[in-house]
Amino acid sequence: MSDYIIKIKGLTKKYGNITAVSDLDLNVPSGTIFGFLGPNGAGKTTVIKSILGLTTPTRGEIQVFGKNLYLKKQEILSNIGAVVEAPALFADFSAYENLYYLTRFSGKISKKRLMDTLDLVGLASTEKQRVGTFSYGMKQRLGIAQALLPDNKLIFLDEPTNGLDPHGIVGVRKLIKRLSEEFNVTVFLSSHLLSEVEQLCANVAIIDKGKKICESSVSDLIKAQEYIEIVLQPDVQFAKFAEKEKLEINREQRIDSTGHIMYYIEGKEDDIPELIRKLTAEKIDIYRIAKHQNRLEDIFVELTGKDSKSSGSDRF
Amino acid sequence: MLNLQEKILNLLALTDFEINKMFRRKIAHAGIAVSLFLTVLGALGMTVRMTKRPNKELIGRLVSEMMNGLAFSETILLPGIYMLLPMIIGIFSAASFAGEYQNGYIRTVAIRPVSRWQIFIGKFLSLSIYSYILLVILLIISYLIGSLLFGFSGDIIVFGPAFMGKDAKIFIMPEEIAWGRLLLSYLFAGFALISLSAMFLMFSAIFKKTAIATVFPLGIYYTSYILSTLPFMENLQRFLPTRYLMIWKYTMAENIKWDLIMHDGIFLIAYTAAYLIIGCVIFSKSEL
Repeated sequence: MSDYIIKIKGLTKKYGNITAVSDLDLNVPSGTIFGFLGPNGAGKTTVIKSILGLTTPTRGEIQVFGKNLYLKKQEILSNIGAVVEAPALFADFSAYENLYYLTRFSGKISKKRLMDTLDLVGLASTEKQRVGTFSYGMKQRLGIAQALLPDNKLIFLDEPTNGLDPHGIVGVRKLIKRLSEEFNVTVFLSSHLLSEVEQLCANVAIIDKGKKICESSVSDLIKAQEYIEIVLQPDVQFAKFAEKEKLEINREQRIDSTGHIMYYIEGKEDDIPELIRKLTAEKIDIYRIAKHQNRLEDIFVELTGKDSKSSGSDRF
Repeated sequence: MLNLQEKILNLLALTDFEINKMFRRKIAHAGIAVSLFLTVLGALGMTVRMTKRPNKELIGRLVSEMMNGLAFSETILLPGIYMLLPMIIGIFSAASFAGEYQNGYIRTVAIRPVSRWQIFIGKFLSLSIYSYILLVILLIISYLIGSLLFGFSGDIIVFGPAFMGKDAKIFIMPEEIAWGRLLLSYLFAGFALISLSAMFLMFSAIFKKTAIATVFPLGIYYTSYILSTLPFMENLQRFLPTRYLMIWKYTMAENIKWDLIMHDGIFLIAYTAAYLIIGCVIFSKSEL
């Protein structure tokens, strides 16, 4: 089997005249937490539903575990689990009964195994409690539990921390990390909580308006967005210096408290000593120089915020 | 590819799942309670009829002399199968399919290694079982109440026009054959409800919203039923979806009309199969 647990090529999904997903290619590495990012309405859930066979793409090819989804759908579904949009579980059943009935289609699973899984998600003490009485966070954890059974090595979690309180968010985040590290489960995590993705994921893809605009490891993505920030006096002719040294100034910003100017120039941390030497040689006083690293949030906004007038998203 | 045995096992597991879900729902209990209400109210009406003017007209005399548990069970089937049970099954079908479609339960099951047709047929089988459970409850309750009020057994009076149309006659059915006829009529009434379940599920697959999946097919059913009772509608009746539903009534003729049961039964099976196939195809193509 290749190193990619999911391979998508040319996935397109149209609803009448509206194109929800357009010619999307995606490769999800095995054994990692893969972040799938995009603004609301970007097409994330449509992609997940396509991979799970819940919707039929207009065109494109999807391979999971190296097998064609349309030819081996049942076989593939036997080994993957998911919580899509919201954990839809049977309110009149207990936590245990939900797991029991939902996993019966995947063969016989022992009571111990079901209880172990409830224990893993922290619901062992509520095995007999009706799911209708559960909090949203408990339902989310039970949803993850059913996604893990019988012994799934690939799970899809669609906005798993939506609607959770801070304790719930931390709990689900820890659980996801544990699943990946201890149980070697590949987690396909769709989210727009970028801090969450940054903390959890090794790789990310960002889509906007149905098109992939970025696919990379999180570290590479953040590294590519490194800047050097320099704070100088306002009367310094830094633009001339930058032109001479072929430095690219991304933006400049006045610091109100001191009246100094902060320049953001393209460059890496390793470039800083040389830059200091050159500025000193030119007798330019440096008030501050440091590496500036964009957070994933900045990168996301920059990459997906190009058309802020789009009415189909939450941008304003 | 899953083999046939696994597919059948999954289908049985799905049906079992559906039945378990069904009996946890208040709506299923409400259906049973309403059947009980019909029976009690029917018994009350019959008791009043017998005590108020038993000797002033022929039918009154016949009712007071020949009513018993068997006859009451047979009588109560008529309003049950025409009006009440289709309504219960219609509402229940929409809640268990369109309702689950709306709240995402079906998606949770569809992510499991089961096919859409298995989910659809599993729901159909559970609704079929529920239909028979409702009928068995109606039979037992009506027989018990009828027996307590009017006597356990005896010959029964069959009001032919109520079952077979205005040209049929009223006749006495001997006790020896009445039991068999009663059970047969309930058995065939179950076929009618099963066919209706398939129709209601098909409309749930089409509309996917509980409200419209309830109102539209029930509207079709009751409109067809009303049209079939109106004069001058003979030419239209053969095209109505309700035309072949009432095969159970042929068991209440003086001599069972097996030829008509066969004829209508074949059409009923064909209609049911068509509803199921259309429902399965639409559900398979639907986005979840």
